[in-house]
Amino acid sequence: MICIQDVSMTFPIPKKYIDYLFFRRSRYFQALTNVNLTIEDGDRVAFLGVNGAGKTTLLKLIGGLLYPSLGMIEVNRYDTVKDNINSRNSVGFVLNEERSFYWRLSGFENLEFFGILDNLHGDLLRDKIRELIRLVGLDGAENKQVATYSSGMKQRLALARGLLRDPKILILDEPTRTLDPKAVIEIKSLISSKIHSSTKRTLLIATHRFDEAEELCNKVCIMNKGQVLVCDTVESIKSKHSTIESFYHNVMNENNSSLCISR
Amino acid sequence: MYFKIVGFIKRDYLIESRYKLNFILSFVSSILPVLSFFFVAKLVEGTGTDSLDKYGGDYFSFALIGISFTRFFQLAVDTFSGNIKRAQMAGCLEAILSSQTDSKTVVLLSSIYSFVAAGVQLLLMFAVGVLFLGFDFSNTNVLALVFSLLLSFIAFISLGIFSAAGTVIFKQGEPVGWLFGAISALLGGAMFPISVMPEWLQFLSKIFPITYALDVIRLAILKGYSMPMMWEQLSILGMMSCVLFPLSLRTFHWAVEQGKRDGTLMSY
Repeated sequence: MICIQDVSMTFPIPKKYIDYLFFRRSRYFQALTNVNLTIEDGDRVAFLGVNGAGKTTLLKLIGGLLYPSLGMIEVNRYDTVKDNINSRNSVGFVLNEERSFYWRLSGFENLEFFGILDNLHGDLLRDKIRELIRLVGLDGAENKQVATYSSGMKQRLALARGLLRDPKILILDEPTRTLDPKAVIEIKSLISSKIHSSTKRTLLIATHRFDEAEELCNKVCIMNKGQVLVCDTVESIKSKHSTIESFYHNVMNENNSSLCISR
Repeated sequence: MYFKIVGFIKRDYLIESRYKLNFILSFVSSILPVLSFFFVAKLVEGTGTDSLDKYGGDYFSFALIGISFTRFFQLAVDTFSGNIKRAQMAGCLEAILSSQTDSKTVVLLSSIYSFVAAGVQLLLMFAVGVLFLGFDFSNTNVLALVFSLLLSFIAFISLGIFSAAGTVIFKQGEPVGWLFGAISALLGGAMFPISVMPEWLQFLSKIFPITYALDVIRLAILKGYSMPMMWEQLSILGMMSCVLFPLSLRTFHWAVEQGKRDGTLMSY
């Protein structure tokens, strides 16, 4: 279970030379404001929102890669700041960054290195890597250097890396962002059929794609300007609105008009 | 821990060895300064200076120890921040820090291969010196040398970890590596005895561990000095190591935590 309580996050804005000259204080950019959210075990939550809405920041906070400026996040009862390593123990992170691999190493060698970092080793690790290579459909390519992989193959490898220690919570940050339509279908099917349905792990996905949210998730959270505007089940959304897309646009329009009025 | 050490060494060896030309050139380029200083020594031979008498009087032996160990210690300072910078720029740092290994272990283990490679280069430089250029190890006090190296190593690793913390905070232009790189060759006495410098520069050189490190290594190799004969320099080096090492680890941990709080850990 993930508990997010009154979480706010600010990033410092780099100072200009003139700011140092006049001893001006640092300024901050508000990335998240008072986010409260509880995610139950086995939930599959899609975070939808425009660029800069705070989706990735929230996921990185849950994954313990960032610390909140205010508030507290508990992952399986471990505080992500005070008990960072234990809170990360049950979390797998699938980064959307293609460069997050060593391009001169093969897919197998990359997984071997990251597996060792996750305290796996020996035959146990090698067997796990072979199993994951098969699961994500990279058989035959595991000994090629990552430099020769396509974007889709790198994303498959990222999924395999995220699953190395068989985490209860899998965080996917825009898993299909750089992929072509065919690869998008393949990755979606991989996540829904092989990764989630067989294990009932918690999935948290930041995405811009409504189809991805509908096919992979049972809950949708819409974010805007660092706030979680609404969270609801896909079932409930579809009963009240025809599609997730129309629900999303309604929420965003309401939010934008209320912001205009308050100004 | 053993598997992690092997894993890091394997990763770095595989990556380095796949850039074949760079891999070979890094070893070849370590020999060139040895040859340069051999010929400089020929040039100054017989001019006689009291400053070298403390170390046996031979300039080539003096300079070979100076340049080879300064190069090795410089690497100790640069390697930690270099690894952080490379991981930030390659985009791997986020993936590494989301693993089950803590950041201090990551930064320490990331540097092992660099030390092994630099150690091999150091041996290569001395092998060329001994086999072809008349460098003499016959006076060496091995125990004093090993102890001196150990203390020096800890002091420079500490500076390296400070430098890595500087990279996490300042990204580019961190001050520790710069200070060491710019000052060690001048003030530490890598290429000339510090006694030839003006007194105020000699005084300044006493702040830097490189001064004591090169002094004890030279005395142990060239004059066979025992540990009690070098107790003053070894005590200072020991005190520096005892203070700097835990302080550097705490500073690095603080820098990583600060980076996570500010959200600037992964940026470069």
